[in-house]
Amino acid sequence: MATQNIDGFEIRTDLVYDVGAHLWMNVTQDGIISVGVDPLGIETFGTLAQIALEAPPINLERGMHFGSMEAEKFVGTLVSPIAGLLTERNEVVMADPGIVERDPYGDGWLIKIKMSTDPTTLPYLTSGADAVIEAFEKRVAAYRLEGVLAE
Amino acid sequence: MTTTSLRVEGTKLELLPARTEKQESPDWVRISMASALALRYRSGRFTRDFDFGGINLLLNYSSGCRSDCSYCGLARTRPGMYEDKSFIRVEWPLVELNDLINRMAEHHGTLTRLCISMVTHGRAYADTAEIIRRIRTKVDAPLSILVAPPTLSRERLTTFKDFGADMIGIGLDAVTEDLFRRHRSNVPSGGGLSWDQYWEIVAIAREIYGPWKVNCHTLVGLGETDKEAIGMFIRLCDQEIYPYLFCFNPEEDSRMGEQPKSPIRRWRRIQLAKHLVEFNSYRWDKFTFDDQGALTGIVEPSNADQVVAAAVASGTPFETDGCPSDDGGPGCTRPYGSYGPAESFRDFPFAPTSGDLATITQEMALDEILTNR
Repeated sequence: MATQNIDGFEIRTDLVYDVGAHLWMNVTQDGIISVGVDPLGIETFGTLAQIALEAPPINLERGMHFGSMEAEKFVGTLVSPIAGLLTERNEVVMADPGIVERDPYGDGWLIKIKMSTDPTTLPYLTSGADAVIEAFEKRVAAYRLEGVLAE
Repeated sequence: MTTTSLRVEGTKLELLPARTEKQESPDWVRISMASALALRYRSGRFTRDFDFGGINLLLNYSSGCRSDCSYCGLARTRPGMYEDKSFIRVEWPLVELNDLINRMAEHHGTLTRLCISMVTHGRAYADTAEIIRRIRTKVDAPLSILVAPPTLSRERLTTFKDFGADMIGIGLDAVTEDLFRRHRSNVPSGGGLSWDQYWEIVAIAREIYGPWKVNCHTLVGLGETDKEAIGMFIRLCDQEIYPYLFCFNPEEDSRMGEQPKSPIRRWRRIQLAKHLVEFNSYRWDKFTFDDQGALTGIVEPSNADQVVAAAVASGTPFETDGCPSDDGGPGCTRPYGSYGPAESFRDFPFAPTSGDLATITQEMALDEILTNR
C-alpha cells in the first residue's frame, strides 16, 4: 500500500480517485470495486453525524446519487463516479459514521460496485502516484485559500 | 503531565500530578460550531455557501448551568456530564479566551456581530464583564449579551453597556406565563426561573439600552397557540423591543426530546405574522383566529400596496432573526441553529433565493389564510 503525506493528509497513491467528489476506488476482485471517501474530503465535511447509502442491487450510472453524508453544518450527496451494479453497502458505517473518519481506506469503505471497465482507463478519474499527488496538492491549497481547513 | 517532588529528611517523595486547572470562564469559553468553522478552529463547511461572521460565545463552568429548562441541552437534569452536553444539538468547542480574541482580531474584517451567552451561574456576571473587557482590548465588532436574568441587576446591566455591549437579549423563550412556569419554573431540580424576574430585567434593559436595542427570544413549539405567539410579538414591538423568533428543535434526552417541532406550514405563517407586526405595524385587527387560537386569516389591504405579498417577496420574514452588524445588515445568523443541514432552512442565514421563495410559498400555503378587507 503506497501512501503520501500531503500537507497533513495521508493519501493512498495506488488507488483511483474522483478527486472533486473526494471518492476513492479500489479494484478488489472479479471486477468488484470498493468505493470510499478520501481523508481530505472527510476533513472538509466536518464531524460526520450520519451516512445514508442506497440498498443494493441498483444499476448505477455515473453521476447517480447513491447516498448522503451529513455533518454538523453540512450535508453532501454521494454521487457514483462510475457506472456499474451496486452489489453491497457497508451497513457498519451507517450505524457508526465515525469509522469512516477513523479508517477511510479500510473498514470505512461505503459501497461495492461490479464494473466491467477498468476505472484506470476512464479519463475523468485520476490514477497514478504523480497525478494523484498533484491533484491533492492543488485541492488542499484551494481549500486553505477558501478557509475550509482548520489552522 | 508534570509532577512535582519534595525532599523530606532525605527521602524523595513523588507527589500526585498537580490538579489540572479547570477550563472555565472567563479564561475558557465555548463557541458555536459555526463560529469554530469561521475562525478556523475546525475544518468543515456549510452546505450552501454564504458569508458568515456572527461569533457566539457561551460561558463554561464544570458545575454547569443552574437552570433546568425542559427543552435545553444544558438543563441540569438532562442526563450526562455537563462537559459532554450538546447545546442546540451540536458540540460547542471549548477554546481559550485569549486565543479566541486573537483569532477574532485576525479575522476582524469578516466579523459582523459577537454575542456572549451567559448561563445561570453565580460567577456569570463577573466573568461576562471580564470577557467583554478583554474582547474590547482588541476587537470592536458590535457586541450583544444574551443575559441570564437571575444573575443581573440595573447596575450590572449598566456595567455591560459601559464595557461596550450595545444590545441585550433575554431568552424568554416561552410566550406565556403559564408556559414559562411549565417549562422553566416548575422544574425537576427545583429552584426554577421566575417570569416576573425575567420581565423586570427586560424593562430595565429597555430603559438602559434604548428602543430596538433589546430583544426577547421567543420559541415556537413549546405548546403555545398562534394567537399567544402573535400576542407576544405585539406586546414586545409596542415597547420597541425586538421579538426574535426561534423554532423549537428537540434536543435528544431533554424532557422535550420526544416532542416534534412545529409543522413547517405553521412555522412559515408565524414568521410572516411576526414580520408584519414588526415592520408593517400589523396589530390584532389584521389577524383572525379560530376558537383554539390558530391563525385563520391575515389581511391584505385592498386599497394599498400589496403589503403581505411584498413582505413575502422580500424574503426578509424568513431570514434568521438576530442582532445586526454595524451597517444594519444581518449580524448574528446562527446557520443550522434550529434545523439540521439535511432539512429545509427554518430560518435563512442569507437572503432566500427565488427558488427558496418558491418553496417557502408552497410551504406556507398563504392563499388559504389571506383575506382582503
